[in-house]
This record gives sequence, structure tokens and C-alpha cells, in this order.
Amino acid sequence: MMNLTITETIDTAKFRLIGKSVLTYRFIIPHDATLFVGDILKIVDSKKGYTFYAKVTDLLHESNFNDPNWDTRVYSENFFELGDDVFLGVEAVPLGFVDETGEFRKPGTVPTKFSRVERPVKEDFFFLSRVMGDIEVGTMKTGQGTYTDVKVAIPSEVLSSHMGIFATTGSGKSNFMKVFLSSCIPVRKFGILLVDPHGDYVTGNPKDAGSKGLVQLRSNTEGIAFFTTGDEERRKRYSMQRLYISYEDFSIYDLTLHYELSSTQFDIIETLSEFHPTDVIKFFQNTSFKGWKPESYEGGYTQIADRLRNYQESTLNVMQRRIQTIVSSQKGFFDETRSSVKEIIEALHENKVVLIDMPFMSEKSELFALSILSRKILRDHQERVSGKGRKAGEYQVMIAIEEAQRVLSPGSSTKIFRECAMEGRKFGVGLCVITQQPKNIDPKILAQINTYVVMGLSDKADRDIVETSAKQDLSKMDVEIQTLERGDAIISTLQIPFPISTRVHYFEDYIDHVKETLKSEKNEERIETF
Amino acid sequence: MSGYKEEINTVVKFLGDRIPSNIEEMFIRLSGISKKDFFIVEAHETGTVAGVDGSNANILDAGFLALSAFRAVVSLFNENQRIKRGMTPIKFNFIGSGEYNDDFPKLFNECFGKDPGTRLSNADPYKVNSVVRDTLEYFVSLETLKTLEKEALLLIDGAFHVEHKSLDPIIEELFFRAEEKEINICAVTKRCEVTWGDGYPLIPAVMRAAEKFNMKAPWWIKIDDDWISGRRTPEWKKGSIFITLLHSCAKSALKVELPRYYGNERICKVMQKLAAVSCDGRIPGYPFPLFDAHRACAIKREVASDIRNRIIEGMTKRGIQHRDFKAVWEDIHDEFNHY
Repeated sequence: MMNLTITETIDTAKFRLIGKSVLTYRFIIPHDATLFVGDILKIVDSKKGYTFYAKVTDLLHESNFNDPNWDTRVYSENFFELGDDVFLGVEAVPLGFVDETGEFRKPGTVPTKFSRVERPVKEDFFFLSRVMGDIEVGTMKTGQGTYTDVKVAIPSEVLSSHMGIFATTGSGKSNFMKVFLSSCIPVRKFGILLVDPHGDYVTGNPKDAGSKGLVQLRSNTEGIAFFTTGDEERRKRYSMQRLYISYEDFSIYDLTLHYELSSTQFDIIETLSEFHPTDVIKFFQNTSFKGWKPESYEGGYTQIADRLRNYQESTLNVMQRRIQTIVSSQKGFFDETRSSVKEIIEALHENKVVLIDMPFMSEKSELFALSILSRKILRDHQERVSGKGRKAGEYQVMIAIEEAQRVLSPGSSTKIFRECAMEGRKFGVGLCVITQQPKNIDPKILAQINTYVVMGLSDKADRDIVETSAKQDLSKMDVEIQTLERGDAIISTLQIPFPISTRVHYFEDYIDHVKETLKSEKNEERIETF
Repeated sequence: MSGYKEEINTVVKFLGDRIPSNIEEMFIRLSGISKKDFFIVEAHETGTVAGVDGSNANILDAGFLALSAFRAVVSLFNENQRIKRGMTPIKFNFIGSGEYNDDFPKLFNECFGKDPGTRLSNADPYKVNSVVRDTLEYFVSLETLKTLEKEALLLIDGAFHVEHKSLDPIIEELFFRAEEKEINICAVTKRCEVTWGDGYPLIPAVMRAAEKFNMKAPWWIKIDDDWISGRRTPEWKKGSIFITLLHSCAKSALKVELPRYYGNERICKVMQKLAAVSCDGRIPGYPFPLFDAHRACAIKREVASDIRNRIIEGMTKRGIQHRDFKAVWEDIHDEFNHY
């Protein structure tokens, strides 16, 4: 007898791996299914016993219809059983796979055809806890949601290889930095220096009443030190030390930070670099170059005067004016004899977070202080390494540079920062390059950075340079980078096997957690002492 | 001998003569219809609607022997959501050099548990395919009727006009079973072959007349048998013909058939449901359950190719050399197509 077989209406085509290669996965889902770029999915290969992980990079409307233009000539709003042949094509980038021993491995093979594609649960990310670092910054994000139990933490060991934070204004980079700095305090694996020209990091955003700063952790820990150029009231209120940079800390080369110099002026700098900076400053402060004749100079710096004999009066007048301007504009902290540099370096070597609070100071003052401190730190480390019995990497210090394109651009990088970027790793000095214009950072410097924290970047050229410079391939995450929300970041670093989408903790909430951590650590210390 | 251009001109003239510019006036004159013969269809909820369609595909053809594959499908919808699909297995039919088709009685018996009574001639392969396909469609329709409830609508692709005597009682039984359960049935034609007068096509004439009367879709009109020309085997014709435009965006009106005994109220009900299931944005004006059945049913090239490969595999296992198989079944055109 003939029979009429009821055919199965369960859709077996969706959520099954159908392509493509080791480096690109593809599957289809119902046309009205909710999936987001950035979602992490697992692909269960029951034949091989592996669980693959992939991140959604794109979603495309597709269909089985012969006519590719079927959807541009529809005649009504009704579509019956559309899901039979209309679907979303999902492009995903493989992250790696967990093998039968539970070890996470890089994607070196493809899942079996039609392997099931599923949404992972938190237990699926257990393997990540073994590779995560110790500086917690947020929780793992998948598309629009987060796995609150999967903490994202940057390994402190990789930070001497520099860190880059790439974010446009308003994408949450200050919040990231505050979270990062506060997480560094209980860890205390390295010192970190940050110059705060607006007070955002120290006391919170002054324009936002709810904003908090790191000063709130002052009473909970000795792992943080504050130096300020602010007034007495501010200093006392927040228990900060006064910042001083002495003439002796100065280098005549620091003039290049402030001024575009002519070749003659640069010659003078080269000439004067062999003298004590205090002598140079004093010479220029106390000498009149009117009708300049070095042989008639009667001051206390005859050697300097002698070396400047061949220069024109007008050139020396310019140099004098510039040095005087530097001294006067930094008079709040640039002092003839007093210096905080030693204390700052000591604090850094005690693996403290050192914040330099410079409210109401100019951008030039900020760079002036930062370049001098950076140079002193690097030289100190270099001397230690060259000294007998010293080991490289005895101390680890990270120097944060805000708006780093000012000092690390191609062709006009400031010497000391460039030196830190290119050679700092050998001496335990890492840079934290913070910029909203990565395209304006020298690519050679970007190539030295091993940890990338990418927040919203709207400019294509910025995204391109970041995606191609990172040690892990970020190019397939371009759509996700474009669509990152405020407070979200993609973190790519060497020890974590794939770039992690992260919902960065909100500092104002996270600070209580840090306080708790610090409190419990203190209690543990007391018990040990007892 | 006329040249290519003249040949084309002859064809154009012939086709043009079939659709004269005043075709609607000619049709109105012949039929005597007026605006009141057109009925506007009101929107109506669809309820349960089933669409039945059959398909066939040529698998092998050696000239003296051809093998075709057939199957039929039903798609059952409720309020425009598919509830289920049913499908017959793929059946095969040989058209050999013998006078009558040997496979048809077996299939008929398999479907209806009895002998067809009349043999099916192999003389017209097109008709053989059509009768075999209808046989499967009627089987699926009868099976579907068993599951449908009162007030449901069963749509069958084609016409209530059988092409072989053996199917005449089957269609009678179909009508009887439908009446028994108070289920409406309707045949919908994909391509209307009906003509009037001196062989003018019916659809454009009716559509143009509707336009002249300023009719807004959806509408329907009943076609009197007397207006139709070139009728074949009228004794096997079971339905009344209607032309209906089921959606304002429809590219063309459709010819549908309903059992002759349906009264006006019942016709309206069927038309309302037809319009309600014919509003899909892809093929407005065509009942979606039939479209769905058609898509599920069609024996596409890859299915036909799979069938051929399985046959070759089976023959190889039986020791028949592929060379011999090709000598019999392969069309030299397949070779030509490489170049």
C-alpha cells in the first residue's frame, strides 16, 4: 500500500557548523534569532571529543532562494514560514579548542562538519581561569551580555613588555585606568607611575559629583603614594606629599619638549649637556648677553661662558628666555635644591602605585615632570643593571603616558619615551601608552607593545593600525571594535590565548571590592605577624 | 522559403492575434458580463488550509524506454502557519515500447486498493506523466481528507478534470468524502489553458474586463461553460471554472475550480479563504499552502542526479558494465554540453 509519510518539521540545519576553514567558521541561525557580534559560542565536536570556541564577527541576511534579489521586490508585509529558506549567516573567528585532556589549544584544526553550535555556560570557561593574570579589570563579555563569573585579569608578568590603551574620548579609558591601578595595589608586583594633570585619577572627575578617585584607597593601603603640585589645603586634605623636581633632575634636553629648536639652538644644547643642569640654569639666570663677549664674563660659570663663545647674542638671548620661562612656569614644583625623585623611585621600587597630582598645571608642565621622572627611573635602572651583582629586572616599573601621541609620534618622538619603549624592557621599565590616536604613534613603538586594551575606536585608520600591530589577530574583530560600548574593551595579551572582550568594572562600584581585598590582606598580615 | 525575420514576424502576428487590443470588449460581448458578475472578496480568517501538489522528473530516457520519478506532497496550514507536511515516497514509472503502461495499474492499486479498470496508453508520454502525477495527488488528497475537520479547505494543484477514465471515480470519491466531512475543496491551476471564442486566452480577457469595470482586487467571477472553446472530454469535467485575482499585487489572475454543486455562499467562503492565504510577500495572489507543497515536492536536479547514481550503483553490483549502461542511457547531448 502507498503511504503518506509525515515529514519531520524540526529544523536541523541551524546552529550546525557548515564551513569554512581553520581560520573562519560559518553556520546559519534562524532569521529572527538574537545573536550579537562579539558573542562567544562553543562548537561541540562529539566525534573528536573537542570543544571549539569561536567569536561572532559578522551576521548576514541570507536565503536559499535562487533569485538573489528576492527581498528587494516584496509585495506585502506577510511572509509565511520564511524561516525555511531565509536565515542569518554567521561568520565567526575561531578562538581555539579544549582537547580531550582539558587543555586549551590554538585553532589548528576544524570541527567536524555539522558539529553543534551552542551558547557556552560559565563552566565552559573554566580553562580560562588557569591562564588569566592577577590584575583584575573586568568580566568577560559576550555580545551584549557578560559572564560575571569569568573574571578578566591581565598578567602582571607581561607588563614590562608595555601596555597600550587605545580609546576615543568617552569610551571609558579613565575608568579602565582607575580599575587597573586599584587592582595593582593588592598585587604589588611592580611600581606604576601616572601623572594626573586633571585630578581625575586622584580625586575623581571634578565635574561629576558621583565620581571617585584613588585617594579613597589611601587609608586602606600603603601601596599607593601621592605627590602633588597642589596647594597646601589639597595636600593636607588628601595626605599627599609635595612634589619637587630639582634643577639637578633637569636635563638641558628637556627644552626640546617645550620648544621647536633650530639647529644652532640644538648645538647649544649638545654643548651644554656636559655641565650640571643647576649650573646651566644659574648661568642663564644671572648672565646678560647684551653685547656678548665671553672673555669679559665675570660670573661663576666661566667654563660654560667659554663654550658659548662662538654663539650670537640673539641666539643666547632666545635660549635664556626659554630657560627662564621653563623655570618660572614650573615654579610650583621646579626647585633649586629640593627633589622628590628619590622618594618617588623608592615608592615605585616598593611596587606602589605613584600618582603625581598636578591640578591646574599646563600640559607642558605635565610633560616636563613626566619626562624628567621617566628619565630618572630609566637611568636608575640602567645603573643598577650595569652595577655589580645587580640583576636585570630586579625592579619592575611601569610609566603611564596619557595622550601618548604627543611624545611617541613617528619622527618626533621624545627621546626618553622612545628609549623606554625600545629598551625599557631590558631594564624593567615598561610603558603604558594611552592614546586616542594610535595612528599617530610610531609603528615601531606599537610593535614593542604586547598588551593591547582596545576600547571604542571610531576612526578606521586608528583601528587598522591597532588590529595589525597587536600580537593576536584583531582584524576579524573590526566590527566588534566599531560597536564597543562605553566601558567595554577588547584585551589582547600574550598569556591569555585569545583576545578577550571585557566589560570593565565600574570603578565607583569596584573600589569597595578593592577595599575589602585590602582589608582581608591586612588581617592576614596581622595573623602572620602575631 | 521565408527568412528568419519573416518567421519572427509570423510568430508575433499569430500571438498578437490571440490577444487583440479590444479583447475585453470582445469577451464582454460574447459573455454578456457586467460589473455585477464580479464579486469582491472580503478579508476572512484562514482556518485550516491544506495544499496538495505533485511533481515528476525525467530520470532516464533511451528513446525506446523512459523512466520518470514522481511524488506528491501535502502542506497543512492553520492561520498561515504550517502544521505539518506529508509526502509520498518517490515512485517510478517506465514508459516502454509496449502499447500500455505496465506500472500504472500497480501504482493505482497501491494508492486506491483496486484495479484502474482502464489501461493507460503509452502513446502520449506527457499524458502518462500527468495521469501518474494526478494519481499520487488524489491519493494524498484522500488521505489528507481523513485528517481534516469541518470547514477546512483542501487545495489541489490542477483542475477537477481528469485525463484518464480510471481517475473519474476517484475524483467522485474525493468530492463525496469532502462533502461527508463538510470540507471545501478547490483546484488551483498554475497555468490556465482555457480559451474562449476563436482560441483567445481566458485570463487576460477577464483581467482586462475587470479593469474596465474598475474592479479592485481581490475579486472573482464565475465562467460559464458556454463561453469556453476547445473543450476536451467534457464528461470527465467535474468543476465549475472561476477566475480570481486574489491580491492587488498579484501579477496575474488564477483559474480555480470548485465542485459544480457549490452555491454562491460557499463559493464566497472559499474565495475569502483563498485570498487570506494568498498574501505572502513573495508570491502575492497565489495560495501559500500550494506554494509550500510545490517547493517541498519538486524533484530537483540534485535529487534526480542522486536517483541516477543509485541506479548506476545497483546495476554495477549486478555486473552490468558502466559502458553498456552509457551506451543505452546516455544522451549524446550530455557530451555536446561539455563544449
